[in-house]
Amino acid sequence: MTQRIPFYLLLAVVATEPVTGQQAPSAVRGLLTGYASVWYSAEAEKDFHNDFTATISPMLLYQVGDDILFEGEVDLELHGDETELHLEHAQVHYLGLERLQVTAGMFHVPFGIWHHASWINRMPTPPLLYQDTHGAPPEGALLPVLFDVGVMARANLPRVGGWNTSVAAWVSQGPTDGGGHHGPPDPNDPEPVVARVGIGNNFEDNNSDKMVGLQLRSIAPGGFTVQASGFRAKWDHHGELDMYAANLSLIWSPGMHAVPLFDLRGEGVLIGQEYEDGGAVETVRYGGYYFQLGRRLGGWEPVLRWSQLPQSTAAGEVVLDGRRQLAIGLNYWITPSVPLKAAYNVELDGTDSLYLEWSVGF
Amino acid sequence: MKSRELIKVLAFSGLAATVAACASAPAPHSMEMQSEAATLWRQTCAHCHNLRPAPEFTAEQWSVIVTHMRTHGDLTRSEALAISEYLRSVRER
Repeated sequence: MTQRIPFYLLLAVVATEPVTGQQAPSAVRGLLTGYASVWYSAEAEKDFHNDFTATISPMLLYQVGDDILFEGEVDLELHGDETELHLEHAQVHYLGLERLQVTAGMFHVPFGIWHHASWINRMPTPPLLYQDTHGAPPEGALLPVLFDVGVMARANLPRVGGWNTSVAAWVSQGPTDGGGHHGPPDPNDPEPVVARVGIGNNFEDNNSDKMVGLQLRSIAPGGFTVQASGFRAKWDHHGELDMYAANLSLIWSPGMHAVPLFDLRGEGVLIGQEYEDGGAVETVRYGGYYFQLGRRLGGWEPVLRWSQLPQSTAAGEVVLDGRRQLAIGLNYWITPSVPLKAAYNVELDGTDSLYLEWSVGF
Repeated sequence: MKSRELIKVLAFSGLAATVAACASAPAPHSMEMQSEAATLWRQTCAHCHNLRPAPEFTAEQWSVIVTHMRTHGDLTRSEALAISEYLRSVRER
């Protein structure tokens, strides 16, 4: 069944009448855009571990006529004396229909609202829900910012009372056990009862099952957004154990000014994961949430964020460490796309950290 | 998820897409439409990030950027073309 999913998406496209009479002359237009950051981080502990690092994420936009757009983005990040290179996304969009977009390739999975572009985020660090780790199992966080390979369709419904509503559905490779780690198991790191699951770093799918997801998003005229998204997939090599996730996100950010006067956002995530325990299939549930408020005062922007991941256990083993974090930030916007960001993360269950970031969107 | 549920999800998505694609909006030629496009540009872009000033990019560059942002900002094809046309007119003033 799952192998036929792209066919159904294709059918939806074919069944949708293309817009006529508005075709612009065919032209090819390319644009190199993206963002870059310089970072400083310091942990408030005895040996005062602190680091500088730098990243650049060039993005190529290549448009053919009005209807086809290719996007590709790589992340180059300095780690010690090595430079890490990651493909962030590589996708082609078909945009020739009035209210339907079709995307294929490696794309940002429409699950949640956290954006990975550093000049857009109001904090130098993601909330505990997310950690931008390119698909590897996040350390001390719940999920990486999700990218995966597959096909996605998004439909814009007619506006009703000024509400702009869209529905997105996608099919992609999905999660894999071990976070995509290949090779023999490490004897010093025995397999946990509930395997950590990675998404977006295993492009050789570990089973024949695919992730199937759906998102419903509605934006009110006053800038209030409510969004619900969810997915399910088999995550183990045998394709027998289910994983599902649900996300509810809220944003209130009035967009009638050149800069949003304030931005209030929150997300909650709940994940269910089946595992085998003594031959029986059990389900462990884990999740978390955050709220963030930013307020513009001229070029300055104080930001507060509360994040929490409740501890989760299964078969007497801790699956997810409980963490509570209060992040206190202050941004200064040099230009609309060049912020200086500072944040002090108060870890109620660990070590506090200081972060400084200078980002440029170009 | 069983195959039947999967079919329901996909059928719903396809139906929603098909129904949604039946409507279209006019191109922005009048002053009123230009004003609507300007409002839509502010609402859509500043909802997520600071508005980039119109002179920062050429009209051709804006066209690519707006197409890119259509995939993030829930814009219809006509709305994206209207915003591109508005930004082109701002650049030509």
